[in-house]
Amino acid sequence: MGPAVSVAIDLLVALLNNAAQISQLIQSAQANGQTTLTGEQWATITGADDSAEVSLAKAIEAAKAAGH
Amino acid sequence: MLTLLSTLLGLVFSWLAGKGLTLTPDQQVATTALVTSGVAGLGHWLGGEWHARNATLPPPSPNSTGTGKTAGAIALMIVLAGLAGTGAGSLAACSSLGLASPKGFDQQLAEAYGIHTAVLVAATTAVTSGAISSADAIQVQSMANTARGFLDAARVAESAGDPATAAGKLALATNALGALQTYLNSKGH
Repeated sequence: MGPAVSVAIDLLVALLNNAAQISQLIQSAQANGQTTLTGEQWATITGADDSAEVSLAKAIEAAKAAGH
Repeated sequence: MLTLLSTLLGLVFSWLAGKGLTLTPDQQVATTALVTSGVAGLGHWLGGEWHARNATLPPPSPNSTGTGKTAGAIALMIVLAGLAGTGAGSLAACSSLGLASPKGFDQQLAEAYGIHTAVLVAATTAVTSGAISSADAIQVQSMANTARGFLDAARVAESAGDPATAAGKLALATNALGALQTYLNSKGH
């Protein structure tokens, strides 16, 4: 499988992974009869987003260092 | 092109199953719909490009990685067009993926955070592969930070018992993600 298809798959997997993770949290909350998310659940959501921000920042620095 | 896309998505689903992530038929249908909606927007952009360039797309630059970078850019636009074209459409798409339908504001906001995270992941992949430049990625980062600010403000307002402000901030976040899509469409070379 060539690099072009690999890139497309990586992007689709990111979409599906994030959608699945959020869905698990929501379903867990609904199963517990929650109408709002707990602080811990929000921490999980924002923590994943924070990690993604850090990864992007690192990728940008690496690209800049490589002259792209 | 859509037939090719469907074939590609079939490969993706098979690959995911091999990784232990098996989608139900309904999820596969919904995922295909989400991606093809993005392709429709991409097709409109490409159509404009073809007319503008007399049905001839420019060749890859000599220093590009060619197919990898082009496909990375196109794939990123597909994801972002499908995700961020309209916030309501994206959230509806999340529901149609067999995921839990939002029952309240918290769930809607959580899904918006999920979309934001996916955008960051996709941009990271694109800049790593060279599909977009570091300068473009910095712009994406800036716009994503703006959207994140609105998301956080929405959560604060909701926690403070101000649903009207919270809904307004979520709408601003959705618009910010839409602007991000527009920007990346302009960088799809």
